[in-house]
Amino acid sequence: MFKNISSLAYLPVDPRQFFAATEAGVFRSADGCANWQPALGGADPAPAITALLVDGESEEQPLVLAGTLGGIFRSTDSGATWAEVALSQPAPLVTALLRSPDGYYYAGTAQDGIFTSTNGGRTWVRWNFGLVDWRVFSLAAAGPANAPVIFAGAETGVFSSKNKGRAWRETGFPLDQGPVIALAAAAGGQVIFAGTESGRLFRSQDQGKTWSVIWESAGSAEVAAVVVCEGEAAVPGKPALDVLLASGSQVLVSRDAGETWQEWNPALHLEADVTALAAPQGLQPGARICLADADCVVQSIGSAAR
Amino acid sequence: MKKPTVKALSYGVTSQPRTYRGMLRGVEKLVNAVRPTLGPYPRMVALASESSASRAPELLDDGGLIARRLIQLPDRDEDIGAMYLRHVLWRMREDQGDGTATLAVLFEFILRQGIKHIVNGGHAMLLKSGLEKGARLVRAELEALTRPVDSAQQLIPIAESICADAEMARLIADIFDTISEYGHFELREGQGRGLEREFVQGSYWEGPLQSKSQANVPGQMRAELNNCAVLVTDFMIEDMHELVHVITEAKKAGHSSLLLVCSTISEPCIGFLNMESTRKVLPVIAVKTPELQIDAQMAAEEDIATLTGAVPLTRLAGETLNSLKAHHFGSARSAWADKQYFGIMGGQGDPLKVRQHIHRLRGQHSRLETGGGGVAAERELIRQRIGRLMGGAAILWVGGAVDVEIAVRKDMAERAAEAVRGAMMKGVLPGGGMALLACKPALLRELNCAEDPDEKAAYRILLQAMDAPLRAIAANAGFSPDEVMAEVKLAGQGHGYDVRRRQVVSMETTQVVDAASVVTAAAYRAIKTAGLLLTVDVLIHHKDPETVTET
Repeated sequence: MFKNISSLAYLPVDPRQFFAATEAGVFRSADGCANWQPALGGADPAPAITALLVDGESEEQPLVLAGTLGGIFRSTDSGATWAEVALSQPAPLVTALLRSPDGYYYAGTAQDGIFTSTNGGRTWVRWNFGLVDWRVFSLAAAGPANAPVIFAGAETGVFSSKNKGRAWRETGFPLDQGPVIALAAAAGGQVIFAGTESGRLFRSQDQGKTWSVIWESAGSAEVAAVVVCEGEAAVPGKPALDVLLASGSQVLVSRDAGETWQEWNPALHLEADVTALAAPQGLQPGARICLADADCVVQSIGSAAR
Repeated sequence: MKKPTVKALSYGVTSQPRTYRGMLRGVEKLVNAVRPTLGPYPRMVALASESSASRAPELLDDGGLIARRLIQLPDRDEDIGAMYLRHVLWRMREDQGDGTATLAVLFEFILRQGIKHIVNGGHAMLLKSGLEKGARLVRAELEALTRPVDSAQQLIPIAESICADAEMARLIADIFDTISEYGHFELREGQGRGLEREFVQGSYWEGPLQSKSQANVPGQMRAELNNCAVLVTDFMIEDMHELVHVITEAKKAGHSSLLLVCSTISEPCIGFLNMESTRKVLPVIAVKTPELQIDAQMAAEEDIATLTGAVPLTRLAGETLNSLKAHHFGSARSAWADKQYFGIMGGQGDPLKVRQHIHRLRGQHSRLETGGGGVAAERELIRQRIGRLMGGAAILWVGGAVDVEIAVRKDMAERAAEAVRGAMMKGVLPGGGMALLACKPALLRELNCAEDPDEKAAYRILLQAMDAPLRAIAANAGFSPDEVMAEVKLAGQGHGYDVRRRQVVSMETTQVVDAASVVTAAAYRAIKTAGLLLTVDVLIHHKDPETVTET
C-alpha cells in the first residue's frame, strides 16, 4: 500500500490520528499507526507527497498541508477533502512545510527557495531575500509567538530569519558540510540541531553563529530526522533538551542536549533505514514514537526507561 | 599703467602668527556653514546656482556636499585651512555617507583650543602626539560601546536623524531589514508626491533587450523565459552561422530556451531569432552585456556565470563562437528582460560556489575599508556585486511637489540609506553625541596619569571637545547648550540628552542611536586631522594671491 514514506505527522489534539506522506498520496491512521487508509490519492495516478504538516492550532482545526511537485494540497477536514494550491512556474518540489509560532506558514522547495503564507496556506508567495541557496530541504522554528526565529536547512548550510521570513541570513554553519536535511530548534532559537546527508549531527548553542559536530554516523548514513523536546531544567536557566535522531536503521535519544546518546529502545532492530518519525507523546522515558522505514513499515515504539 | 610690485611676491609665504589665524578663520567659515546641519533638527543651507542667477538655489543639509560646493575662499591663508577641512569632510562623506557635521564641529574645537595651547608656549608636535593617543583611546571607547543591530526598529532613528522624515525613515529601515546591508538599493524619481517602495527578487543588471521586437509579454516591453539556458559572451554576433551554432549547441545540451548575454547582435540575427520556426526550436532572448568599462563588465560576466553555472565565452580567453560547447551554458529557473534591465531568478549554479564567491567579495570589500576616489568606487562596485549575488533589490520611488524638493529628498534618502547600511555592518552606539560623552571618564583617567604638559593639554582639549557635538545639536534644536550640558552633568555619568523628547536619557535605555562606524570615524578623523593641522607653521602659496598694484 505504502510507497516511500517521506514524512509522518500527527494531530496534536488527538495524538492517535496520524498522517503519512507517501509517493502515492497521503494516508491516515486513526489508531496510532496500526491501520492506514488513503486520505489523498489512493487511486492511480496519486500525487507523490514530499512534505506534510498537520496544524492543530489553526483556526480551521485541523489544517493539513501536503507538499508535492508544483503545489500544496490543503485540507481543513482531517484529510477528507483536499484543494490544491499551485506554486510558481516552473513547478518546484516542496520538501518541507512549517508553521511558525506566530501562525505564518513556510514551504521549503528543492529549486525555488522558500514560499510563505500568511493565510493558512491559501496563497503562497516566494520570498527569498538573502537566501543565496534556493535548494531547501528542511525547516524549523522556535521562539515566542511575537518574534520567532525560522531556520532553513539548505544544500550549503543553515539560514535563519528573524523577521517572519522577509529576509534570510547565513548562519555560521560550515559551507562544505551540507546538505542539511533535518533541522530542529529549541530554547527560543538559541539551540539548533542540524542533521546532514553525510550522517553528521551539528549543534549550535548561539542561534547559529557557531556549530560543532556532536554525533556522527559510523556508516555515513544520512540523518533522516531530528526531534527535540524541552524537558524540565535540571539546572535553573539552562533548558534540559531531549533529542531524538534517526540515521540509517538507528534511532537514538539524548537526554542532555546531544552530549551523550543511547538507543531509543535496545530491543528495536530495524531491517531498513528510517525515513520518517514523529513523537506525539514527547521524548520522556516511556513515551512512544511512530517511525517509518524504507520498507514502508510503520510502527509505534516505546522508549526504554531512563 | 598697473604693474606688479616686489611686495606682491612676498605674499607667497605666510608665517606665524598669521598662519594659525588665517587657517582658523577659514576652518571657522566652513564649519559655520556645516554646523547647522547637525542633529535631528537640522537647518538647510542654500547655495546660489553657479551657472545661472535665475535658477533655484540648491538646498542642502549634507555637510560633505556643502563643503564640496565651497570651491575657494578669497583670502589665501583662510583658503588653505578651509580646503584642508573640505578634503577631510568629503573623504568622510565618501567613506561613511554621514558624520561630516560631527567631524567639523570636533575639528574646529580641537584646532582652536590647540592653537591657544601652542600660542601660550605649548609644543605642536608633542600636542599632536598627545592628541593621537587620545584619538586611539576615544576609538577604543566607542568600539566598546558598539552593539549590533537587533531589529529594524533600531534602524529607524538612524535614518530619521538624517532624513528628518518619519515615513522615509521607516521605509528605508524596512528595506534594509529585508535586503540586508549589502543589498542592492536604488532611488528613483516617483511620479506622485509621496514615497513608494518596490522589492525585486532575483538578480538584475543594466542591460536592455537587444531588440524591442523580442518582447513576449503581451502589453509590456518585456520578455520572459522559464527554465532557460544562459550564455554569457563578449562577442558581437553578426554571422548567422555562428548564431545557428549557438542554438544547435544549446539544443544539443538539452535546453528548451536561451538567455543570450552578448555585446551586440546584428539585425538579421535578431530577425532570425524572431522567426516562428526558430522560436519553435529554441526561444532566445538576446540582451546587452552589462556595464561599459571592461573591469566592471568582466565582473558582471563572472557573477552571472557563477550564479548560473555558466562559463563565459570570451575573446580574452582566445575563444570563438564556434568553440562553444555544452559546458559554456548555465541555466536558471527563469529570466526576464525589458528595455533597460535583464534579470535572473534561481540561477542553477553550484550554491557552494556562489556562497564562496560572495565570501571572497565580502573579504575584498572589508579590506577596502577606507579610502576615497578610486577605492570608494571599487568598494561600491564590490558591494553592488554582493547585493546582486544575494538575489534581491529594493527601489524607493521618491516624489515631491517640485524638482528641488525631489532632489533634496533623494539626497536625504541616499545618505540615510548609507548610514543604515553602515549601522548594519558595524553596529550602533548611543546617538546624539552621547557616545562621545561616554568617552570622558577614560580621557579623564589618562589626563590624571599623564605627566607631559602637552599630553595633559591634549587630554584636556579632548575632554572639552567631547561636549561640542551635543552642544551644537542642542543649539540647532533651539535649546541653550549650557542648560542642556548642566542637565546632563546633573544626571551623572551614562546620561545624555534626547532633543526630540526634550529630556535627559540614560544611554543604556535610549532609543537614540547612531551608526557606530560613522561616529567612530568622525571622532577619530577629527582628532587626527586637527592634530596634524596644528603642526603647520608656514603656508606657501604657489601663485600671487592678488596683484598689488600701484599707479
